[in-house]
Amino acid sequence: MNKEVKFNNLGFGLGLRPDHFQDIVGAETGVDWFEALTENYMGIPGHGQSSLLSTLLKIRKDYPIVLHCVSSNIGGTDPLDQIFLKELKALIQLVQPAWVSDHICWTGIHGLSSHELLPLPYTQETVDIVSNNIQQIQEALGMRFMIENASSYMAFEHSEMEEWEFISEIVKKTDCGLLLDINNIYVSSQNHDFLAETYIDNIPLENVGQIHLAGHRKKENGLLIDTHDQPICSEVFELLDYAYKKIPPTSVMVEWDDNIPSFDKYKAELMKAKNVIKKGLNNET
Amino acid sequence: MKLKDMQEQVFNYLSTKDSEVKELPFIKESKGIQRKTRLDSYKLSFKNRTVECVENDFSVTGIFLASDDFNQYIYNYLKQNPSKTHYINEISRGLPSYIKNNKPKAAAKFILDLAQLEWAMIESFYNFFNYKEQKKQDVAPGETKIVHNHSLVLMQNKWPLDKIWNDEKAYEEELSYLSIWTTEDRMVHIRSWTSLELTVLQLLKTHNSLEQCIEKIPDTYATEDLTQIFEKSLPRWIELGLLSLETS
Repeated sequence: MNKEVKFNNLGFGLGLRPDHFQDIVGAETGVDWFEALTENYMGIPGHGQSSLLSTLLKIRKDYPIVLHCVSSNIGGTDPLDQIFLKELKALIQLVQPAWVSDHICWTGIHGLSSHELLPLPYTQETVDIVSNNIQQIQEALGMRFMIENASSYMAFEHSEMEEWEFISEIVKKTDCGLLLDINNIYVSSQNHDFLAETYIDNIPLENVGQIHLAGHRKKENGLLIDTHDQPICSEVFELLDYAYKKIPPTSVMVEWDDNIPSFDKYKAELMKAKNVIKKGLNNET
Repeated sequence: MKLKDMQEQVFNYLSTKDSEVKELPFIKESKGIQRKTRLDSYKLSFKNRTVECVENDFSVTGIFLASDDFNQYIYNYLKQNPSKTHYINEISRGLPSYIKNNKPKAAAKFILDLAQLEWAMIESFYNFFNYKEQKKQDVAPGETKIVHNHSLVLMQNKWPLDKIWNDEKAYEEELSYLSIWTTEDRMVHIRSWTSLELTVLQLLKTHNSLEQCIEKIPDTYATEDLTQIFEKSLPRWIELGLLSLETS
């Protein structure tokens, strides 16, 4: 295993939501760090004096922040959006995040956006396109980029490899970081019938810099949907325990985007994750 | 199959109504879940995010548009005006223009003005939270600085849009002078003023110094009317959060 520390362990964090600003600004929260959704703090019609951004900068004085994007379109066949990259770079200069991440997916084509995190076929052509885009982003930002495994509800007949092989190929080509979303692995394993543990056993864990946890829902049609609107289920916590024992100490966080609970309930979910990890590591020794 | 071909077909599937698209054979069927079910989970999410975003942004316009199927109307709008930016808030921007060219026969007479008002309210909200500071004129020592609420939008209209907005059933033509603005509590407000009040608000909006603003008021207005504005309306505007004053 490569012993180089690629991303610092920030401890236990939460996804930052404006609903909780009042609970966080100037308060002692017991949370180690926060992840901000990048697109909320950049763009229309510009940033610099935004009320949201100024609150983020206040929080930044007390906590490490990481930036999480949804619009890089790293699996897209269009050229990368240079305006987006420019605005992202400006935000990075302001916020000084510990790192920046986005999902392994595509979001649009021919300059049009779906605003969805759409799945990719696992082919050599896609590996090359995604890797090329990541390299361009890393060069533009001057930092190692982190990519997250997205949950998926459909797969492709023409895929040539498994998802974990696809991710491994990309990491090998780019040496980017991995944001391991445990809930997404679980959701996809149920939707596509593979063993979540096999996934974890076969990805380049030395590049994992962050772990995501969240809740999901089962639909009547049998699909699990990554809704981020409820507590984390026991199966995802079990998978967290399994994964965490295999990777170097890594930053862990909980995200919640719909039916957002009180800050205390949100934090309680993070504490559950902390206990799962602590108990798992104690049992190992 | 090339990645680009797949993406073109999937994007088309997502953005087209069910009855108009064919199944995509390159999507895998597994676990007894049909490819249509799998694709439709994305389609539903796409619809919820985009169509419902526009429907919500123009919820009052939707009522007065009197379209048989507002959902289909928005679908058609998005087909002609697909999202070209990663900022989803921009997706509704073109709807007033679309309504201008695609007005249902039964639509209210003021529908275009109402749509413009609803978009102005959305813009006001996002301007409040995302304003980029512009370079300003200097305020001389001793002058009173006007601190602007950058979400403030001023409109003159031939319809009483504030009354229509408040469901007062005022559907006859009547000139209105409106201000739209957002406050820290994330509320967007709409209010009507007199013609003179709107003129003064426009001047206040474009000046940084109260004294310089007063100098620009045309001398055609009666002194007592202007006195009334600065003694009664100005404190009210400050109280409502349209602007504030700082004495240097």
